[in-house]
Amino acid sequence: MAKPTKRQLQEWKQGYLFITPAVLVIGVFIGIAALFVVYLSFMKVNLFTDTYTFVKLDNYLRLFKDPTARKALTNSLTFSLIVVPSQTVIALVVASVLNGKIKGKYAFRTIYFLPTLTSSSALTLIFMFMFSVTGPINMFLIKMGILPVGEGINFLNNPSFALKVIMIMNIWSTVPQYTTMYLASLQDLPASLYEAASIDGANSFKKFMNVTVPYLKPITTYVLLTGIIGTLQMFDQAYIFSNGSGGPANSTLTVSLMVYRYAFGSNNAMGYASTIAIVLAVVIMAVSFLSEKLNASESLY
Amino acid sequence: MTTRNFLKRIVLFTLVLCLVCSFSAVAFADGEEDFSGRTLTVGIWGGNDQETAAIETLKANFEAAHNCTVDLKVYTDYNTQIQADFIGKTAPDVFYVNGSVFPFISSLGVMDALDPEEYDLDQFYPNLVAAFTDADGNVLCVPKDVSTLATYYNIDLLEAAGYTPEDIPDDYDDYMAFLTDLQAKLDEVYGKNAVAAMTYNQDLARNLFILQDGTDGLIDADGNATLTSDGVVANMQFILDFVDAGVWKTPSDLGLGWNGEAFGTGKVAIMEEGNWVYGTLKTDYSDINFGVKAMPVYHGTQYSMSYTVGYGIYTLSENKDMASAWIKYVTGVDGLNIWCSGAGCLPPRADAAEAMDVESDPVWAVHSEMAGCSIPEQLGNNYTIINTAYQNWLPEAVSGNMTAAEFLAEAESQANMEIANAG
Repeated sequence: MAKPTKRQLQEWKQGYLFITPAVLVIGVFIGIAALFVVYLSFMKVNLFTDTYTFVKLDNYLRLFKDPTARKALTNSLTFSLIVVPSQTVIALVVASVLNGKIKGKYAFRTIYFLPTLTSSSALTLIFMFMFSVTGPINMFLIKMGILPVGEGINFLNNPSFALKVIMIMNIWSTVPQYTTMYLASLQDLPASLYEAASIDGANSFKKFMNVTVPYLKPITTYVLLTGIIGTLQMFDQAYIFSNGSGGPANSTLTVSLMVYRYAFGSNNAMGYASTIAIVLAVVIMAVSFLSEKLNASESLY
Repeated sequence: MTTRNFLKRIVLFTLVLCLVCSFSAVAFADGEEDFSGRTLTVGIWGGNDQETAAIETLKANFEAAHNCTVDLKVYTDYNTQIQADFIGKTAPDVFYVNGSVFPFISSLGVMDALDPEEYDLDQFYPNLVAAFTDADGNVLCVPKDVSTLATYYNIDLLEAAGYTPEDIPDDYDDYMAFLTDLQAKLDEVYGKNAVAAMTYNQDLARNLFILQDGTDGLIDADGNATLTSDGVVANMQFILDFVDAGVWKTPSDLGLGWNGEAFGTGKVAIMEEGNWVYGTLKTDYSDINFGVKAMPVYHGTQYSMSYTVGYGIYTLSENKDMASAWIKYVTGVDGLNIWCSGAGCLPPRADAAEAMDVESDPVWAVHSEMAGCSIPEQLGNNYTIINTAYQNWLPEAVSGNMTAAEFLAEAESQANMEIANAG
């Protein structure tokens, strides 16, 4: 390589100068904190007395034998597996419909965006009301004759339904946000592509599959990644839903909720909580990497 | 300066001096210490409007008497935030401690031991003082109030079903027959499942007294859960029998948030609830015609549950003299009168109860009577863990997926696993 010119050196210097504040802030508040969590995961910690005992891999070994942790991980992965594809597909379809030439699309765009503006805790309470024994969902099922009168399902207290209610809630509240992203990108999609497809004899569905979907692929990658990370880290909805217990029968216990319970309950087990957090981070990285690879390999154009 | 002028000045000076002296004599007449220019931080959790008004009155009185500032630090998520404050060594000088988490917080070594004589502890109900005594016999908190469970009944619903309040049994053993008949009559009058005979809660805070009866307790010496003994299983089955018979329903089964709401909207005839519901019934559901009686006897013993909160002094506080004066004021007869009559709870000491004349109100009289026979909501250091595991698995027993023994074994194993992990 040739010796850098004076001008190049000058530019480099400037560049490093400009990124220094960001690196410092991120380094201190995220980098050091993350490293500290790694350190804590090998310790038995009592933060109250400031005692740290090195316990080697004990926390990790214990975690792999903990049936509750397995249950929490299964819950989180199931949640992600169902929510991420659903929210991506629905957002994509809704966006392409809203981008079409339909009447009142601006009104629909506004209405569809409302759930994103609602705080997730308020949303959870609304859904808990809707799915309660005497709530609208049960009333509807009873009116339709699907359920006998006076025997609504207690969705909130039934292990086979609780997590599914949270899934529906999560899909409902995240779709608008992703729809907006898709819409923004669709605005730039040149109409000539659709025209060319029409001349080739493509119908609406074919145009959607062969023009819209491939064009939006970079956005899809982003939506998938944030979706996976968001769902695997899901905490607030499960916390409010189960009043922090992860019940009934651990059916709404997510990994993040478990971390919280060990770190801030009357458990005083920051070390074990850190271990769970580290494993969760590794799982998220692995799943994200996998999804990116899969998405990239489906190159259609 | 003339002599006359000089005399005049002397007289004026003496007058001013006398005036100042008499003012300070008024302010500190009863030997109140002067904390002028200092600030005491009191850690509390938020309450309803009445509680807020009561604590503001206490704060204003204390500030006036001691010429100081009281800073109320209101926690929204008490358990998490105060732990963070302990870790950061920034906890308030004096703070609330819930009886149920007292064993855990006392184990952290963040509270000073208190001298029983200094705080008149012999005037307090002994079971409440015991609830704030640690394993070494030190009292670390002074109780500030207590609430107890009692039986609330809806007179109109009972009468519509052809009963009078006197028909409600005094013994749980007679409840099954009574409630079965009552539920059948309520179904007849109001339609199937429209009105429940009685509510219950899936919570150790409510079920503890039944579960522990006749057993060696629900924890062992190390604080691990012992839920699987035959006695506990039999007691659990006693609760589940009511549920299986359809005469005990949770408020959530009725599509409502809590007992007070279910009772207030006339959806249930009988509930066991704490005295905090009394104010709610009077203000929010004033059309409900209700009465209150003692809790039923279980296997020959009169029980209730008590929920108490105390004040502890932070070990690292620099204002311990102020904290101590605060506790003495708010847990003294005058302070308790302001707090308990305002917030709607029972005073933790008999002399204050007398001064408040709790006996004159039939509802308060019952709750006060229950204070003596109640067992505190406590289960060693790991109460929260054990209760979470209990609440987590109880729905499985209620739905019939598990027997009482299977459910308790599952809850015990989860609780003890978590206790071991926390180690």
